[in-house]
Amino acid sequence: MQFSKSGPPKKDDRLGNYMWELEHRPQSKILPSDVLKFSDPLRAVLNQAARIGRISLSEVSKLLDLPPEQAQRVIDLIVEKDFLRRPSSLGDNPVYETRLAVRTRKLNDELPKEILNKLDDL
Amino acid sequence: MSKIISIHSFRGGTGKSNTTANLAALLAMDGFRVGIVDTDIQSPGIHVIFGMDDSDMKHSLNDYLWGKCDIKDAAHDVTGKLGADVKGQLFLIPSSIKAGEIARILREGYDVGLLTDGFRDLVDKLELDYLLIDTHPGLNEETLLSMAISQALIIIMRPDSQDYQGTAVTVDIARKLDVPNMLMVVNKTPQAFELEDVRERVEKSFNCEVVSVIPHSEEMMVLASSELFVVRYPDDPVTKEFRIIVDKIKA
Amino acid sequence: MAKIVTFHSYRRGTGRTSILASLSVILARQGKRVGIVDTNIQSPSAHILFKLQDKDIGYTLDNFLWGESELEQTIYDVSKIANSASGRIFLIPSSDNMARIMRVLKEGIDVTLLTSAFSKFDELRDLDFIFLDSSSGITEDILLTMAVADILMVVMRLDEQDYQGVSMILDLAKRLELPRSMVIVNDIHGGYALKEVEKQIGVTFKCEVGGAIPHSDEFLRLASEDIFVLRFPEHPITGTLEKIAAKI
Repeated sequence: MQFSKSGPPKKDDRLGNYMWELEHRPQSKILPSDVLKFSDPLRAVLNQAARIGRISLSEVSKLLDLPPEQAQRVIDLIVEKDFLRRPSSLGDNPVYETRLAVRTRKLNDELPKEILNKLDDL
Repeated sequence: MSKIISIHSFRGGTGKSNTTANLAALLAMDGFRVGIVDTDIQSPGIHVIFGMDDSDMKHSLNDYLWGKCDIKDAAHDVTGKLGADVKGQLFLIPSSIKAGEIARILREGYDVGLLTDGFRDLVDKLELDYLLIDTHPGLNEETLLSMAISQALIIIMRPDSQDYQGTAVTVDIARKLDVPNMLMVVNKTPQAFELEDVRERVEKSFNCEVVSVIPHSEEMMVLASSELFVVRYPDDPVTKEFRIIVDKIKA
Repeated sequence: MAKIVTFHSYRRGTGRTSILASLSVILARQGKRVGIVDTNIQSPSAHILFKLQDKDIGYTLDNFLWGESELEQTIYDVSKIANSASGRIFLIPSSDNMARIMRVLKEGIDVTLLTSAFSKFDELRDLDFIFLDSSSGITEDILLTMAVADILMVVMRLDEQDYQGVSMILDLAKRLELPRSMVIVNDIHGGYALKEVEKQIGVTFKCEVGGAIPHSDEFLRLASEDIFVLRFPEHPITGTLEKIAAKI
């Protein structure tokens, strides 16, 4: 990624800051608890997407105060982080569905076998 | 548009499930179509207030999460528990109370995303006006997710020092998640406390409006979750407080 | 070897931690050495009852579980509160820092390490009893803390929601072949005859009943601020708690 090498971008580079945050905050997927850590306009985008279930390019562009082509790059990165789903047809103002496919932690093999065995026949 | 409302308390024993059940009942009595989902998978309980036990559950939320059934199939019509002449309808989606099934959810985990899809699906298929989510106390990813998709969050606390600490965390998180409406409810206020003082203190502590300060109610304790309070005691001061909250939800 | 007593309640808000704290003080005053582990990682509270301030707490249980500290560094001597010549109370608290709690929830705990903590605690402090304060409901840590228990203490209220839950817990205890389970009924409203409640609970659940504690405004108001038997040494509830302690 082009932003990760050079460290945090300058303050006035809005796009750069959004991209940097998205690349660095959660290591892989964005979980609900990760959303809390984002700074404001970016968090508002994730919150709105979660609450309404979808978000459009123009909405992201407005919330982040970025021209559409830059907002698109932010969206692409959020898609990569598995929080938004790419629509089947793009069009002028594509709408992205929110994907909150987070699994809870599995317990397999963490509890001693003899405990699990006793639970198995329940 | 229908409203998804999460009911949360940071610690347990605040009367969260009883409040949820009673608010839902009042909404249904007002003619709305209402659903309740018990997402407290580790210690389900709200079904008891509607007189259900294991044998009454055709399907549970757990079955849906395992792909065994449609979420709609886990919805149980409990309108009959509200007495005669109820215009609205009330559905409960219970969590399983089989120890083995709870243990299995723990062992295998589940797709939290399915929960949110399920909520939205329910609202559509049952044509709900309101969906109330009874959350697991404390904070985990599921609770955060429920908050994140809700149009309103009801936070219930008792006026004791541990609750003040914990509730501050919840309030902070709700603000970060941009929850559009936050309704603070203080429950089980001991008789010795002045209700208005409590309201003022809580409002000051969290810098948000307190919708209702509910006094400790001996009737509620004696009822012990065996019935719906608002049905049994329609004129009790506690029922009046529930009404105030319901009016706020409808506003 | 210390006797491990696991305190559990199906629903929250039953007064489980308050009862645990009172019982530990009673035993310490009888000269016993009691160790308490706050395994209620999601919403720890034992440290508040024993008046450990944030500034006094360095390492906590989760530090040990992540290999950030030795178990020794997570043990706090809180005996002062019991004011006993020979008895001792040691507490291993859990962190109430939200970020740390979230980390545990996300990454889970190493249960083998947690079990090893119990026996090590005993080795380090030569304990008579280890009290485990577990979280409510059926969770990962309760399955484990139940499995290692010599006695399971289930605290419940006379509430329909508790009834169903407790019977499920006791069923689980049977499957895990626990040597002994005991139910304590707390916060009994409506002026029921306590003896009658004890009898009925015993019949309903086919289990030993530790005691029946009536509702008390003092208990409710004290909430998490103080330990009941210290504040109200002459109260009838203190007498009931002493009887329960004798059964352990």
